[in-house]
Amino acid sequence: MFKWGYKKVQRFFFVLILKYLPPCKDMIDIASASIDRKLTLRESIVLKLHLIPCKPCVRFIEQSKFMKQMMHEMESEEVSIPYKGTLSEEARERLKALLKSGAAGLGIVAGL
Amino acid sequence: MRGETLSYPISSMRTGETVTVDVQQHAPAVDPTAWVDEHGDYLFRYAMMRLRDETRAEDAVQEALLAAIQSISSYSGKASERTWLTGILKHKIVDYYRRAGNEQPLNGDDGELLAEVEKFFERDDVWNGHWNNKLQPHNWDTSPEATYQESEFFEVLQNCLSKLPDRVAGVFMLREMDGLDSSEICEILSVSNANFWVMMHRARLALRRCIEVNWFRKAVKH
Repeated sequence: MFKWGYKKVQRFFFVLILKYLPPCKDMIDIASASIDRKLTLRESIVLKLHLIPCKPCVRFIEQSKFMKQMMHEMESEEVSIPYKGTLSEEARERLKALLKSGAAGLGIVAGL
Repeated sequence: MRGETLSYPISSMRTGETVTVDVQQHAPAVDPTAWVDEHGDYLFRYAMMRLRDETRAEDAVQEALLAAIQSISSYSGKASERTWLTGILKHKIVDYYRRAGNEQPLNGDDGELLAEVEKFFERDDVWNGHWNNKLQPHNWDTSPEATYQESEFFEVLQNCLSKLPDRVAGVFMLREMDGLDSSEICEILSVSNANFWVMMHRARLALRRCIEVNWFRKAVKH
């Protein structure tokens, strides 16, 4: 009897896709670009097929989107700027002096 | 964002007019000497996050403040002083990357990154080019609330960013943080379009791995 069954058919296609379409390493470029731009028809078909059996690549896209979101968060929220350093005392003095002389210069010109 | 040369007066970039020193008329009460105390550290951190080097960040802040003082007449008082200064600083940071883009040879510094990224994929006969079992992306528990609130996550992200080669990090940050278009970034950093996409996906591969190891450790153990 010819017993294929859903599972076997599925497996057959998975292997087909993974073996005969470009491997993950070559798909990662398109997977990454799918976040930033509209893919060409060809690219998007190949990517969609690849993602059916390929969990890690699906995760790669999800995680890249997540990182994008977090980068955005980091930029927009002043509080979440993770770097807590401050200007060095020396730089602070230098900048103040520069601004002072700059402001004085402007004052003279503006006063004319 | 789109300044043409390195030494333009900042006001011409913002409003299209040249610098006219006319402080008395429209300048709202602005006291440049107080900028350092009020906004200095904020601007420095802002620059640090993007330039990742204290000298560079200090220089950028200095350039920005000097540019600000020169174009003080164009400050309308509509935006807060900090927003206005940050805007100018942003231009200076882009300028830095523009200069760096002109100086370095293409692909000059991402050989190491390439080597790292290549390890993520198998190199055998059967599964050539497929994910390595251990290094492949594992499931992240990213319930947004949990992650947003933990400022430590942003520290990890920042650390991971700092491990990227300068130019790749530049590309990635200009894109993801400042939201510039690929064409703008290519122009600023003098990279080809193809190279831009390569740098983006390498940055993402390296970053996600770094974040997984340093933040989502639980996931790696599975």
